[in-house]
Amino acid sequence: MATEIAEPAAAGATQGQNVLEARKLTRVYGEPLAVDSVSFGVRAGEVVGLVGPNAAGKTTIMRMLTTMLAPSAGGFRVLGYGPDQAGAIRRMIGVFPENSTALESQTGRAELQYHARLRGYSKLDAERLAAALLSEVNLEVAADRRVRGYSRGMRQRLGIARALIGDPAVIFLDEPTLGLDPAGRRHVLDIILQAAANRGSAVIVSTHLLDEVERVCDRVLIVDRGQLVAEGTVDELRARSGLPSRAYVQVDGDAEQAVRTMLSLSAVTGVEPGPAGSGELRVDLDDGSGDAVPALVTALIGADGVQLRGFTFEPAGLEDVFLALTGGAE
Amino acid sequence: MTTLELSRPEAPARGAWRLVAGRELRDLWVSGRGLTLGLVAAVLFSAVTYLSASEASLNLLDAQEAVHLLIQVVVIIGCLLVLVSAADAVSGERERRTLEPVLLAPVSRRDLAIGKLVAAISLWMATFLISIPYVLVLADGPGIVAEALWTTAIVGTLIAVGLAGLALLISASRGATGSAWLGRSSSCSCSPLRAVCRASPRTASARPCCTSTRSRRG
Repeated sequence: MATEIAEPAAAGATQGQNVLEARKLTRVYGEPLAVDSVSFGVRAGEVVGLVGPNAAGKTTIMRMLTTMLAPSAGGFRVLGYGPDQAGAIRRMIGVFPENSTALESQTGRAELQYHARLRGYSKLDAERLAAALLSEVNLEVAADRRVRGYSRGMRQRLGIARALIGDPAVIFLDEPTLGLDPAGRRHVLDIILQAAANRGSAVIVSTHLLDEVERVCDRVLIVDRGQLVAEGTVDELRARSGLPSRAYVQVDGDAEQAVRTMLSLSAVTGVEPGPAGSGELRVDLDDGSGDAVPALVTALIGADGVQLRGFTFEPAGLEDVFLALTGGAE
Repeated sequence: MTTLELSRPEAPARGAWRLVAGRELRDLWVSGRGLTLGLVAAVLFSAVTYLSASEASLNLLDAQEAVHLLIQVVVIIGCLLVLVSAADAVSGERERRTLEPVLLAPVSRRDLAIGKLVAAISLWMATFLISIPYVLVLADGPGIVAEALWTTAIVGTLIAVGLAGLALLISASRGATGSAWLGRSSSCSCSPLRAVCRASPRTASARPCCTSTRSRRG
């Protein structure tokens, strides 16, 4: 669902343009700082993962960016609006706060209509918008049931639908898949991808589930003890972590020549026989991102007497990358 | 994907307090909570009226004093219900995790406060309406029906509004969401809230911070 209506400022936000900029964002609760001088930008249409260990400051960052908490120092801008223009920012953003829900006594449809009305939609438009959003999050069947009868997954989807009202320029989702079963998680992740792709919204997802980050996020911000310790794509973070990766190679012909060819490459740190009976060779690479893979494949294809039959790359696990970058912090 | 061609609102809803009040009133009365409280009030009034009437018939209590006793009970019960409802309007919603989405809506804190106050004060109005038959029974004898009703309405309304504002203020000032409620109210002009509204946070200059993207995985 996409409404063809543009906020004055949002209309100027094209794909690739920064819609949110945080600069030296700081929040003090005591020592250590809850958020310590965090700076980053988010572009339109981008899905950014905000990850970190428990109590790293993810939710505090989200609450400051959504105007629920004033920064102690530094600041941010959403489409040019600063934190002193909270009302304007709230019109530009959609938020799914962690564990939030709707009034138990009202229906899912009424909840969406209410929030659409608060945003200034007419009664008729609010009804149409609610129906479209309920369809988008697959809640049409339960639309007129009271929220008290909703499952956790249904409540999460209703909350995400609420965050999509008004085609916000920036969507903040705080642990949107918390407590969901695999099917529910997949559905929510699909909704997130659609929101970014169809609406051109920037999406910031705070989560501690790294497989989700790998699946949906264009870029990752790793926060630890209130500080931004790493920022980049998943592949960039793998490369930065310095963790090794592995490849499994199937060759016909001269296997010894294949081993010699691979060991001649600087990125290859070792070659061992693969699992018994597999006929594979396990190749250890010195970087986690797979930058050396093209050179490895090219060398094997060009090696005399060697026919490359299969190649599987196993990058460094994001969990290992995360632990390496955060120093294994809990 | 459905495409809707809706006219985008130029601004957030005007008079959003009416929307907030409507939702709060529905939650209070449709859920049955208000009706239950009203029933409890009616039982209490019945007991007080019966006892007062019995005492008056035994000449142990002056008829006017019986009316005054009932008025006091009506005002106390009504205001107590308002107090509980107003306090629950923020802290209760916060505990039930339904407050934050409303605070994140582009609506002024004043509209939210007024909407919640209206819903809380509706309990006083209901209590007053329930009390009318009881006042009529007791005040008809000494002939002070109008005086009793006017006194109950004016005194009760003033106390109910004051207590509701105070309860809402105390409820809103507690906890993390409370700071969100109170700390950003440059538009807040509701008198009790305005006094505690903190200064707006500092404006920050922006710094572009671009990094590359990668293709999305399925």
